[in-house]
Amino acid sequence: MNFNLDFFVRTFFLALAGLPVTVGLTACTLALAAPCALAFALVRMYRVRFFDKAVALYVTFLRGTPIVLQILIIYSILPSALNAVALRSGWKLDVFAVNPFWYALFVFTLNTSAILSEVFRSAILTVDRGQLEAALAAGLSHFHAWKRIVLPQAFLVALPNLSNATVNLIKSTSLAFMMTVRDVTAIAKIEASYGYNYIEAYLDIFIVYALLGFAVQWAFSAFERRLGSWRKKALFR
Amino acid sequence: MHPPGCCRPGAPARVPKRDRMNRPFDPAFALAMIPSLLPYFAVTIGVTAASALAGSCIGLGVARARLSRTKAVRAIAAGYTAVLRSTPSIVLLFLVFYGFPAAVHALTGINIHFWHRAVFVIITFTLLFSATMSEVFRSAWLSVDRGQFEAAVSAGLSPAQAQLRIVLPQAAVSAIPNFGNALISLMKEGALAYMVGLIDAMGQGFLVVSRNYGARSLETFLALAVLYWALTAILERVFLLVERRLSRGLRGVSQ
Amino acid sequence: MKVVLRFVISTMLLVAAVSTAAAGGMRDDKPAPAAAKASGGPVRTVYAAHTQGYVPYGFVNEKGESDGFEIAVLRAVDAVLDEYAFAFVPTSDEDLLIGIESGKYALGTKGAWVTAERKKKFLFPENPVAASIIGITFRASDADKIRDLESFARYSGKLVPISPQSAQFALVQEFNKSHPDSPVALVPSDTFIINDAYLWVIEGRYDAFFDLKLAFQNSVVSEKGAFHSLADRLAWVPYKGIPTWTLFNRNETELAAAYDRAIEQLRADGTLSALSVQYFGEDVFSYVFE
Repeated sequence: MNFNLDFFVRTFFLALAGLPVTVGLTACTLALAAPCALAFALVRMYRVRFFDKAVALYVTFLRGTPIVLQILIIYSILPSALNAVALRSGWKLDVFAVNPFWYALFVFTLNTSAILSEVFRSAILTVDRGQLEAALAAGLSHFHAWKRIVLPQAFLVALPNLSNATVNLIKSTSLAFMMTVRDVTAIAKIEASYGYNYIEAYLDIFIVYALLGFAVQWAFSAFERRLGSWRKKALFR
Repeated sequence: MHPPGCCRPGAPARVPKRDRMNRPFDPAFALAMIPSLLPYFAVTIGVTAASALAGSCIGLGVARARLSRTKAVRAIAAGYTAVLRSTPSIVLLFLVFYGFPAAVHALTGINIHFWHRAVFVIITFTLLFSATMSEVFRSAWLSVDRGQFEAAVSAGLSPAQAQLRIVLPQAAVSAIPNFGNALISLMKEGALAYMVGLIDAMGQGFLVVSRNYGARSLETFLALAVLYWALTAILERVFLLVERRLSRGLRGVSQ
Repeated sequence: MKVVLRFVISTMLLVAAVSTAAAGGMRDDKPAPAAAKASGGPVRTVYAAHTQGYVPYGFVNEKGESDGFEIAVLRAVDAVLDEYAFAFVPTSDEDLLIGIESGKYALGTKGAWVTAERKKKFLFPENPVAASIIGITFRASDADKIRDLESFARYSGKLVPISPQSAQFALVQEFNKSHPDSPVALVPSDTFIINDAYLWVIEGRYDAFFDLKLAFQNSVVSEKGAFHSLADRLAWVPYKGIPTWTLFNRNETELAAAYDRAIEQLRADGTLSALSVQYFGEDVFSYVFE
C-alpha cells in the first residue's frame, strides 16, 4: 500500500473549504425543522381533529424511508415539477439555475422535522401532567404554561436526543453530494478520483467529521450541564 | 415534432415550450417491483435485528459506565460514544471491513477476509447502534426523578430491586420512543451494505435500475419507498402499543 | 411489563434467526472458484473484484451471478491460465479500489482508465481489457448545432453531472485543458447510477449527456427500450473509444504477466472480438486501435 502523505495533507485542507456548506446546511435545516417539529408534536399531543392523523402519516413516511430514497425521488421530480409550474404560470424563474443547496435544504428539512417531532413528543411526555395543571391553576394561559413551565423541562430531557439528531444530520449531509452540492465529502471524493486515493480521502473525511462531531457533542453536553446544574449529580447507586 | 435541423434560422437556442417533461412512467413496472423486492427485505431485517440486539446490550453497558462513580470509567465511556457517533458510517464500515480482519490476522493468523459480508456489516451497525443506545438509555434513566429511587430504598427494597422494579419501568416510557426512532434509523442505513457488496433491499433496487441502463429509476425507488414505509408503519405500531401499555397510570402532559 | 419485555426479545430473536437463515440462502457469498483445472498442479485462488452495476461491462445479473464483458474476458483468461483460479467478488467502486490497493483483492475491473497518478497506486498490465465508446446524447432539435464535443462546448456546454470516479470525468477534464476558451461545464456528482439523464436533456435541465453507445441503443433506439417514446427527440454522436484496464495489486507482478500472455493469446484467436460482439453488438476494440 502506497500511502500518499502529500495528498492526505493537501486534501484535508481542501476539504475544510467545504465546511461552510456542511455546517450551513445543518444549521439552516435545524433552524427550519425545529419549529415545525414542535408544532407537529403539539398537534399530536392535543389530538387536533384532522391534523394529527395527517402529521402522523407525514412522520411515518419521512421517518420510514431512507433519506437516500427521499433524495433520489425528490431531486428527480421536484426541479422538473417546478419547471412545469414555472412554464405554465409564466413565472420567470430559471429553475435549473437554482443552487442545488436549496433542494438539499428542502429534503433535509422535511426529513429532520419528522425525526425531531418524535424527539420533542417523547420529551414532552416525560413532564408530569401535574406541572401543566398547576400552571393553569395558577392562572397562566395555555401558551405561557407551555412556554415557561413544560417546554423548558422537556427541553432539558430532549437535549441528549437533540445532540444525537444533530450529529446524525451532519453525517447525512454528506449525501447532498448526490445533488451536486459541494460539501466536505464531495470535495474529498473529487480529489481522490484522479489518482484513486480513496484510503487517504476517507481518512480525511473521518478526521473532519470526527472533529465536527466532537465539537457539536461537547457544545450540547456543556449546554446540558448548564441547564441541568440544579440536578444532583445523578450517578448509579 | 418537427424533424431535426428544421428550426427557423436565426432563432435563439432555447428549449421549445412543448418539450416539457414527458416521463415514460410505467406504473405496472412499479407494482411488479414490489413483490420482487420483498425477499431482499429479509437481509435488511436480519441485519437490523442482529445489530439492534447486540448494540442494545453493549449500549446498556456503556450507559451504565457513563453513570459510574469512577471518573476514568465515565471518561472512557464518553470517549467511546463521542468517537462512534461522529464517525460517518461508510468510514466505519471500511475500517471494520479491512481493519478487523487485519487485526484478527495479526493476532491469530486466521484469515477472515472472506467471511460473509453480513458479519462485517452487522459489526459496524452494532458499534454505531451501541453509541446511540448509550445516549438513549442514559437520558431515559436520568429522566426518572431520584426521589423514586430514594423512596423505594427507604420502603425496604434493595438498591438493585429499586432500580429494576421502580426506576426501569418509568425510564422505559422515555426510552421506548427513542429506541424505536433509533431502530428505524438503523434499518434505513441499509444502503450502506451495498458498499461492500451485500445486497439488501436498497442494493437490489440500485441493481435493477442499473440493469435497465438507468431507466425505471422512479418506479423502483417508489416501490422501495412504499415497502420501507409499510415496514416502518408496522414497527411504529408495535412500539406505540408497547409505549401505551407501559405508560398506563402515568399522567403525561398529553390530554 | 415482564411479559412485554419477554415478548419483544423473543420476537427479535425469532426474526433475527429466520432472516439470517433466509439471507444466508439469498446469494452464495463465498466466491466459488472456477471449474477444476486440467493440470494437477497447485492452483492459487485469486479474488477478482468487479463492479455491481456497470452494465454491460461488469454487473450482477438477474440470477445473482457475476456477468458482463470484463467478467467474460476474465473467465476466458482463467480458462487459459492453469495455475490460477479466479473467484469473482461483486462490490462497490470504492471497495474495489481500496481492496486492490490493500491486497484483499488481487485484481479488479471497473472500466478504469489509466492515468499517471493511478499508476503509482496500482499495477496496470500491458494490454487493455475493453474499450468504452463514449458519445453525447442531446436533443434532436439541436442536431444542427451539436456535431461533436467541440461544437457542443461552443453551444452551451451544460453537461449532465458525472461521477468523478468515471473515466468520462477525466476525459472531459482533458478536453477542457486543451480547449480553455470554450470548456464544457463539468459538474461532479455522487450518483450511484445516472438515472433521468435523458429526461433532463429533454426538459432543458441540461443540454447533453455523456452516454455509452450501447446504453443509447438499448434505452432509446430499441423498441423495447424504456425511453423509446423519446427516440425522435434525442440524438447521439460518438466521441471516443477509451481503452479500459484491469487493475492489479502492486505486488502481483507474476499474475499480471500471466494475464498479459493470456490476453494476447485470446486476442490472436479472436475470442476477445467474439465476446465484444456478444456483449456490445460490435467489436469495440476497432474504435481504439484506429
